Order: sequence, then C-alpha cells, then structure tokens
Amino acid sequence: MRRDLVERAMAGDHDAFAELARISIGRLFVVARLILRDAATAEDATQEALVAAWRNIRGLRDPDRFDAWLHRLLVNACHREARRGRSRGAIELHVDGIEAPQPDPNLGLLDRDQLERGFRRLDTDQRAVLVLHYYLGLSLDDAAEALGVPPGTVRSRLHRATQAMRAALDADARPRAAEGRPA
Amino acid sequence: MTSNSPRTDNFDTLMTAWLDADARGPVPDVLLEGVLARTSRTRPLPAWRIPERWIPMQLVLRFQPRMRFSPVLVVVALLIVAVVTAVILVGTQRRLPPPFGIADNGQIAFVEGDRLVLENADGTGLTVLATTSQAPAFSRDGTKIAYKTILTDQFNPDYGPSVDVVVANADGSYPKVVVHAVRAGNPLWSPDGRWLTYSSGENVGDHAYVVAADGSSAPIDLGDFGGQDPWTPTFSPDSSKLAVAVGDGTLWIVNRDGTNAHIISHQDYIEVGERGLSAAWSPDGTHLLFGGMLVPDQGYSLYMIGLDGAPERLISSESNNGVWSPDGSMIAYMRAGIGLGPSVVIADSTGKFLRSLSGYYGWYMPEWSPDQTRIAILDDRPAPGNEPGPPVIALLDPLGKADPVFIPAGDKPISDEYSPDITVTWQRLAH
Repeated sequence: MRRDLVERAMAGDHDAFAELARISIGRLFVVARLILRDAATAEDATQEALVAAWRNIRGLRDPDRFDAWLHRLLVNACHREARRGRSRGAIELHVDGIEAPQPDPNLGLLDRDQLERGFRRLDTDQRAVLVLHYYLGLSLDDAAEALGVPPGTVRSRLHRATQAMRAALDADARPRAAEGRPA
Repeated sequence: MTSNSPRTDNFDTLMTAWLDADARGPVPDVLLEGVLARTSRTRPLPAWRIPERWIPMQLVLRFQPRMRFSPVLVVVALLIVAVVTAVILVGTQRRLPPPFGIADNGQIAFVEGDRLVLENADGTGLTVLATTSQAPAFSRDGTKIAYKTILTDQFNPDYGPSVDVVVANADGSYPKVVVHAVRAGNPLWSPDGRWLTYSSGENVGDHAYVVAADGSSAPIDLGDFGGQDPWTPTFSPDSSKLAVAVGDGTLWIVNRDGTNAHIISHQDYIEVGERGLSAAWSPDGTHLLFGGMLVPDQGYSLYMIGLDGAPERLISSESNNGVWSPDGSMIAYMRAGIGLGPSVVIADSTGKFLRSLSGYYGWYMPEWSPDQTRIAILDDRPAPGNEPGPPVIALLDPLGKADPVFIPAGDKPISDEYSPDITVTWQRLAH
C-alpha cells in the first residue's frame, strides 16, 4: 500500500503524495521538535522536508526506502533550521496551538530537567542520532542511512552523545556538599 | 577507572522514556495544510535534474548536509587564497640583475660548429639553442638572447648568406625573428634591453641600424657616416648613444635615433674596431676601448678614449679586443705573444698593466663572468704545438692564481664560415 502511494507520487500524483504526507507528518514533526527543542522551527523543518520530498521524489530509486529518505530530508532541514536559529541568535519559542508535552509519570521532574539541559548542550548531529535511535528505534545502520553518513560515524556520534548525556546526569547528581555549597 | 551512578546505569531506559514523554502532543493542523498548499502549486523535478538518479547513493550521501558558508568565512578564505597566491608569485618571480656591476653567473652560450649551444659554466648540461646560427648575445638582465640564424637558401657567392636576427628567451624558447633576411654583423643589445643594434648591407657594414628588440618597429638607419661603412655599433650604458667604428678608420658617436653623429677619434687610422664590436664602453659611460691600426699590415693596438674631446691613449701595442670588467675596475684584452697565439692581459681601469695570464689562445673577444671571477676565451688551436684541433673554451682566473679550466667547444676545428667573433656570452643573474 505504501509502496503504491510512493510510486504514484513519483509519477506526479499529488493526491498520493498528500496521503503520504498525512501519514508521515506527525512523526516528522515530533522528530524535528525533539531535535530542535522548538515547535515553531520544527514546523518549518517539517514543512521544508516535505516540500523537498515532493520536489525531488523522482530521485528516489527504491520506493521501499521512502521513510529513510524522508528522515534524511528532515534531518537536513533540521540542520538548516538550527543554523538559521544560530544566525538569528536565540531560538524563539512558539507555543501557539501546541499543547505542552505530557509528562511521563515515571520520570521525575529532576530527571527531565537534567536530560533537557544535557540534551541542549549537544549539537544537532548528536541530537539527531539520539532521537533516531532512542525515539524512532532505528538500528545504527538504519540511522546511518537516514542521516546520510557511514555507520561508523553514527556509532561515534552516538557514543559521544551518550557520554555527554551521562556526564550531564552524573554532574547534576553529585552531592551539593562536594561543590562546596551548604547542603 | 570510571563507574556510572545508578541513575546512568539505566540510561537507555531513561532516554527512551524522556523522549517518548517529550514527543507527546498534537501536531498543528495548519502544518499539513501548509505543505499541501505549497506542493500543489509545483510539480516534482524531472528525474534527470536530480543527482540521486545518476550518481551512486554513497556519493550523494557525502553531499549531505550541504555546507553553508558565512560571508565572513568566504571573505577570510578569499584573503588567504590571495595572500598565498601573492607569496607564490613573488617567490617564483625571477629577480633581475642590474645592467652593470657584479652579478651571479648564469649559463654560457657559444658557437659550436654550425649551431648555438647553451651549457653550464662547468661544462655540464649542454643543450642546443639553435642550429645554423651565430653571434649569441644575452640581454643584460639575462632573460633574453639574440642571435642570427643563417638562411642557407639565400646565399650570395660574393657576400655570403643572408640571416634572420632572432630574439628568444634565455633558454632558447619562443624564438622570434626581429629582422628578416639581412646580411648582418653581430646583433648587440642596448643595456636597457629594449633595442638591438647591428650593421647590415651587401658587405655587412653598409649601414648601421637600431631595432626594437621585440620587433615592434622597423629598423632605424643610423646614417651614412660620411659615406663610409660602419661596423657593429655598441650602445652606451644609458642606451642613448652608440659608438660606431667606420671603414675609413674613424670612431664615431651617434644618438640612438641617428642624430648628432660625430667623430671622436683623433689619429689617422687605417682601420678601427674590435673583433666583435666597434668599441667597448666603460660601465660609467665615460670611456671607450677600441682597436686601431695606424700602419698597414702592422696589426692593431688597443686605445682608450674619453668623451671629453681629449685624444685617445695607447694602452698596449699589438693588442686588441679590450673589455671592461663588470664593475669597471679592470680591463682584459688580447696581446700578441710569441707566435703561439695571443695571451690575455689584465690592466686596471686606466689601462695600467697588471698581469698577463698564462696560455696562448685565439684572437677572439674575451668575456668576463658576471661575478668577475673568470674570463672566458676561445682557443681554436689547442693541440700541442699550436696545431688546429677541436676548440676549447678556457676559463681563466683574472687574478692569475687558479689554473685554467677548459670546456670542449665542439669536436671539429673551427671553420672560417662559423668562426665566432665573441668567445661566449655569459648570462647575468641577480646577485
């Protein structure tokens, strides 16, 4: 079914592409928001990725790899949005029409806070590999295809990102007395 | 050794839970509408315009993500490229020696049989510069060489062959005919490198000319010199005047454009002139050396004359072919010996005898090395007993201390047809 839609879209059928977009857009938006940590820029990245997909869909050689290809377009769009955000200075937060994420009752407030701070210290490449691997559940090879880099690069990025996140958690978990402050 | 805290031991679980929790939330409705609105107005690109269709995927992957350069980085990169390019250009740009004074020794060029050859002063690296050619002369900056190429198909039994006057790069590349099909003597450079002068006519010396070294203008006739034949002129150091030995035994000075021609010699010579040129200018442009014959068949003597109108002085009898050292402090000339050929004599700038160098050679113009440590002279009868044999070029120490060094100058005795006037021309390089 999915392959049929992709082939029709490759033939120029916009309705087929619209259906593909409808199926994919929620996942793409969430992935973009997780990477960029900002809903508005995630919207932009998602829209740019899907427009690029439509424009370049005839470049897709294997319709069965549509999702991996779409993920690569999305990560590239996230890179562009992140650079654009840096060139503008701080990323603005837009929350209109978007509800705040629902907290997992199994995660403490402190954990979320520490993870958020650690994650924001990562660059876009490291964030992307964490999101593709831990959120989408992609294998390292699939993540490599989605990111358009060799698997070895994904492994090293994942290693560095994991180390950075662990370090962030460990640092925040140290007893405050060790920092020379009153308990 | 490192140890993880209990909170990071379950990192994978923690990470997955956090991302899942963070992913919850609605997708804006307007997002899909916006995508569809934009895509409905366009069509997919044709496949041939998309690199992925004809470039292997692994190659295409390397293009992602594309680099985006900031303007500042582009400017910095351009500046670096400009600086590196300038350094390379300056580094590779050849420095040129001034036209006078001490310079470094470059290659030497000389006549070997019927061809011009170029080689290092130690006799290595011989290359053929031109065939059927004569009279090489490096420009004073060492970048060009002038010579004449014999046109063997234009031979006059009474006057010999016609020649082309040619200017080429110092290595012989890019030869260009400056004057075509004339019967010319030795082409000689102006010190500024812009001009060549030569005498030409049915009998080689009917008229004297100046021509632009790049061939951009027609030769300028320097005049008729009282109706007598001029011989190979020589430029003054400032390239504005020429000394011309004329067939009635007078030495003239003439402006480069042919004006203000006048006789400067005082004595009534039968002939004047040196073998390769009319007269040799001192580097400061104040004096000339020239050979003069006062009595028929009695040989030449070497004279020095100033431009102040004073009469010439005899430097040495039975002598000729005087040349100034590069810094003008010495003179070298050829003086008759004991019948085995002339010797090279060194005098100071006033003509006062300093020393006679060992050995007997030929009546050719000697050539100072640009660094003033050697004098090159051709020996056309080097065999024992002064017999003819394969010629050699002797490199002599003007101080008379070091032994001569001999360089082969061909494997056959020198014939009259290709007998050179000037031993070698020595390329000057920046010091």
